[in-house]
Amino acid sequence: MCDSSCTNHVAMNAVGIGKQAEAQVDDLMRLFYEVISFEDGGAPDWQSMEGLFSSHARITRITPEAIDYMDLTAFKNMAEEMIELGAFTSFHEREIGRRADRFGNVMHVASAYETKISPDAVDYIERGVNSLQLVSENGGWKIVSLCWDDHAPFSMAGLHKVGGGV
Amino acid sequence: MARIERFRISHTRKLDSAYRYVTEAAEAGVILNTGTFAGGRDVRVDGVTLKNFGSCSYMALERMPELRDAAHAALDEYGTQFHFSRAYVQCSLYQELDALLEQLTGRPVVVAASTSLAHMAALPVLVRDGDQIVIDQFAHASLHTAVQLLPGVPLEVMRHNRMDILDEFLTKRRSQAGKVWYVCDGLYSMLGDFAPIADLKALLDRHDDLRLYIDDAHATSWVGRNGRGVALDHFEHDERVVVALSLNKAFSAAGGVLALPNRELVARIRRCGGPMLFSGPIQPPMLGAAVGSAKLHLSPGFADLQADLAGRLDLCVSALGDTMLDVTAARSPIFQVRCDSPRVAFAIAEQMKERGFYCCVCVFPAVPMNRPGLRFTVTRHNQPEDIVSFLSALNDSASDALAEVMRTGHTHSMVVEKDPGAAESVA
Repeated sequence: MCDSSCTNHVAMNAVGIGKQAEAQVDDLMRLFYEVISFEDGGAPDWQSMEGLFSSHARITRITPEAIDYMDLTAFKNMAEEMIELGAFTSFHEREIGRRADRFGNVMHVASAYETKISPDAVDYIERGVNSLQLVSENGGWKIVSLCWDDHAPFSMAGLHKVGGGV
Repeated sequence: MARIERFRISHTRKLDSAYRYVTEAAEAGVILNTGTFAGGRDVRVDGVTLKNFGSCSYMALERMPELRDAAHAALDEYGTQFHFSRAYVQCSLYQELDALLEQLTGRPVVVAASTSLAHMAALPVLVRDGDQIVIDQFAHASLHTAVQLLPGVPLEVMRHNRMDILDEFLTKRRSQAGKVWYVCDGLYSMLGDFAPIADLKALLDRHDDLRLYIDDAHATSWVGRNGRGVALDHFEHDERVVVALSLNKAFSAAGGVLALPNRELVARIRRCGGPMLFSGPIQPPMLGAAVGSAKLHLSPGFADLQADLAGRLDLCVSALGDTMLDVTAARSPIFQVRCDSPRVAFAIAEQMKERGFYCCVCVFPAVPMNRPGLRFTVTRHNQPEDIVSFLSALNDSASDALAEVMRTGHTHSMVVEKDPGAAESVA
């Protein structure tokens, strides 16, 4: 199990990413999970979310039944419809593990998450890994692709713990 | 609110998803069980006798002589089936039942073979060209099905019990023609909370174009004058409100009832509400049971039966205060204990069986994904000592199950792959 003391993935990646980029990605990922989460009766902070994504971004959601290929607007429409139909009345997701690899102005982030009914819930509803591609746009890192499989077997392989991990 | 566009998630995909979720619960052994009657206080589920905290027989009428004798008499007179479409010839017991239910509800009525079919008969007749529908997101599935039968009628889904959103919607469209039908439950069957009746009354006062269609199936019998539910006690004389009741559940017979504001609507629904013409009738023995139950509801002693249940509800609410359970409920026979996850809910249900009690899990899609829980009901079958011991067992099971899931659940679900083909437990 890799954690913050891991000398394989984290240190190697940190050197590759660069300290400034690493801090930016930390902020980006923290905001990414903050803006998608909301309390009962609320909604994701769509305006802030828009600021995290490139205007060219694609979002891909894989479920056992089908694959959704979306842009941010389509994702917002789908999420809002699910909320209004009652699939969720609140949403709490946090990052529990990460690996980031930089290739110039491109970065790949594998971000493990867990979804809970509330931040202080003991057990989780779902765990999974978001696969994100970031591009450096105008001096900042933006998400150009977000992809996840709703029901893939969960694994922390190659990831280091974030926020206390699991 | 969301205008339902009906294109984002396909019909087949929704069915496939529902099949997957229901299959997971079935494979956990917590739904799709088989039971035999064991007196009401107990139920035999898959061969095991358990104290019954899962039934909708809130008033425990199903074996009372008033219903059984009436069912027997109808069976003797008509046999098991009256083989006509009601469009041609209806069993004479319908007339007797109509008369009794009009007395019970204080309104003209239409009886249907089920509450679901009552919705399907009524809503397409009630909602006219130019009208709109707003439906609560947690309204019963039968209502969501029925409103889909109105192609071309704008349909909005509204967050649960959010009268502020409804008020805003009505205010914005004030100058438009047509009515707005707000479709909701009187008592919500999974979460155990009521429609905000006082707020709805206030909205009716402010908005002339508002109409209410309330499914009061789970409030039938145990509350209201003669068991007419919560909505009719407040809206009996309001022409803008239609109420559906259930003759199943606490009424312990079969069928559904539409309590309508006038006889013109009775005639329209009876004559052109689809299932009223094209679906089968209630079978004579159950019509007889419904007549017997209606007479019991109208008898002077029925209020005492309601008071008896009310006492058990008070006991339950009081005893819940001695537990650590996270329970959401108004004072109704339906209680939901919130759980961290479906895994925890399944584990609690399993532990409750081991402790000799039956209660139900409620997980997505019956409730939102973030509201997994245990649903239990309190009925007149439940003896006071059973209620106390049930809650004690539930409290212990909730604690034990959470610990068990944390201990074993993570071991199974959390693995770290060192390299392809190798894995080790994180825990």
